[in-house]
Amino acid sequence: MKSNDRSLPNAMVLALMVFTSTAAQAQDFSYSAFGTIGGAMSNQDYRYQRFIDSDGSLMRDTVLGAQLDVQFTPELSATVQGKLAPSARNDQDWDLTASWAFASWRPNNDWLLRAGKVRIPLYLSSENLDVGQSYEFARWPTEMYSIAPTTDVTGLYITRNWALGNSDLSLDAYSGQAKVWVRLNTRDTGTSFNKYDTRVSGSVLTWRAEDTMLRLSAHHAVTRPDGGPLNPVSTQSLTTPFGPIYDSSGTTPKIRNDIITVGIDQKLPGNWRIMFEAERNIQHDTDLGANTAGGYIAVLKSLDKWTPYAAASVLKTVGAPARAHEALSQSSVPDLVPGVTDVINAGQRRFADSIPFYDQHSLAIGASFALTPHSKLKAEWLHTWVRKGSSMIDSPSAGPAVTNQGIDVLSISYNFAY
Amino acid sequence: MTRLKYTFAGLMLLACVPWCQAADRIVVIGHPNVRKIDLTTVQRIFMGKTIEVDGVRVRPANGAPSLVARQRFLSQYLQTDEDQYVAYWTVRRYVGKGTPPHEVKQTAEMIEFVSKTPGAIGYVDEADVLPGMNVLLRK
Repeated sequence: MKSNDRSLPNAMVLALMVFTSTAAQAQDFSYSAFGTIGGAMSNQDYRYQRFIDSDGSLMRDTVLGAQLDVQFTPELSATVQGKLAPSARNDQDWDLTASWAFASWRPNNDWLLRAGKVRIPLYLSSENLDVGQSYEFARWPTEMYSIAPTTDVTGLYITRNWALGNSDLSLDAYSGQAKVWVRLNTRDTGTSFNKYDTRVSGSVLTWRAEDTMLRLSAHHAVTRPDGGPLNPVSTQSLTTPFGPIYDSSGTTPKIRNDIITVGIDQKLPGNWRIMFEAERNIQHDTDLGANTAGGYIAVLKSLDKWTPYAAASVLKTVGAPARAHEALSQSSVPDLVPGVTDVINAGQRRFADSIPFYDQHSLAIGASFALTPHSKLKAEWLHTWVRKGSSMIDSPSAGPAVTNQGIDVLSISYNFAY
Repeated sequence: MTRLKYTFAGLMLLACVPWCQAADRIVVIGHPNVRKIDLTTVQRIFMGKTIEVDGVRVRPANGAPSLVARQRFLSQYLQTDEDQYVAYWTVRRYVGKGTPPHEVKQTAEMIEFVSKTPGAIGYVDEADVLPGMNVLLRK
């Protein structure tokens, strides 16, 4: 276990120092812990979603965490949530990080202000994503829940609530920043992690009734490399003695994304429940970034302690990045001069692999079983169809990219929260 | 003679019904500085959605899960059960929207907390209501 990312542990240490120094004045403490011990195994030798292959892995879904809530005054409280999970900086280590470290000020029923590190509600279940006990899926559909490398930002967060009879309407507005590590795997160079600085702001409208939750959100992110290379803007065709190839053209110091999400969670008669989420991630400033549309629909049925479910999901890269990826995927020159054309073709492969590209859809069938009100067992069979490619797959080196293939994943997990 | 016994037993049972109901009934009580509230407000307070009533900061107190009164309160006032209530607060805690109400282990502790804590709201069995208690709601 390592903890090299200074910003996150520092936030925890700072928050803990504040807690310790003001403990005497605190009215109320509350401790809680949560965790998921989860294993997943696929029928393919290559890795999917960073960790899943035919050898099986505990790293895709396992997470352990704890949360400390302190009430200083009736209006002022603070929360720190730390978690031990596979590192975001490499595929080997486990990191202890702070998901949350914020102070809350709730002056009345209508307003809530939070400052510090907060998880933005990009998805229906962004905030409790790490707490597997609080939902039924073995894993939220990755096609939806992977559109942003992180949803934890440090900044200011304002919530306005309206009580509407038996329902509630809330509007969240936030602005903050985050250091994020973006994973890149290419067939020729393996896996690398690049650090970026992201500033993100947005607003989220949520309506909650007894049987319904509806959420609409819009977010604007500006991302800059943190010490790494600038992002290329587009492709250009070059003519070589062996044929035409592609090269990158231009660089941009920042990339802007506008992300729109919609989600609905509806309980139906007969203990049925239907969930739907969709996203559109609009990429600006480059033709070689993530520009995606995706979502899922899920049906759940509660049968006492059992909740079986089925979920169908899709994620596709659209627009210019999709066209660029397709052109690069087909770009190669005849192997006429070993040592030269090899290098050219490796460069084309690396270029193609470096574009965040997704063309996949999945079907998941699983069930959760409530052992106690505080713990659940879950099992799931997932089948993913990959068409023109997916950056969630580490295609084997020295081979073609994985396309037009199916991946079966079996997952089982024990989840708890106390 | 046998018929007379059954008739007597039946009358005794009927006479017991109102008392039995009273014993099962939960009454919401509050600190003297809290005004009468309606059912919706009770529900919102114990679900963490309402923190202030008529300008008074409220502090709900719940019984420990082992208390029978807690299960009755959840059923009669919140229309939920222990599992659903725990699941609700598990999510709410982990979305950063607060923590479950303060918990007490015994009825006597509930009464003491409510009487001594400004803004406190709790509940007791109807049979445990004492003279002078601020009864906020009786279903």
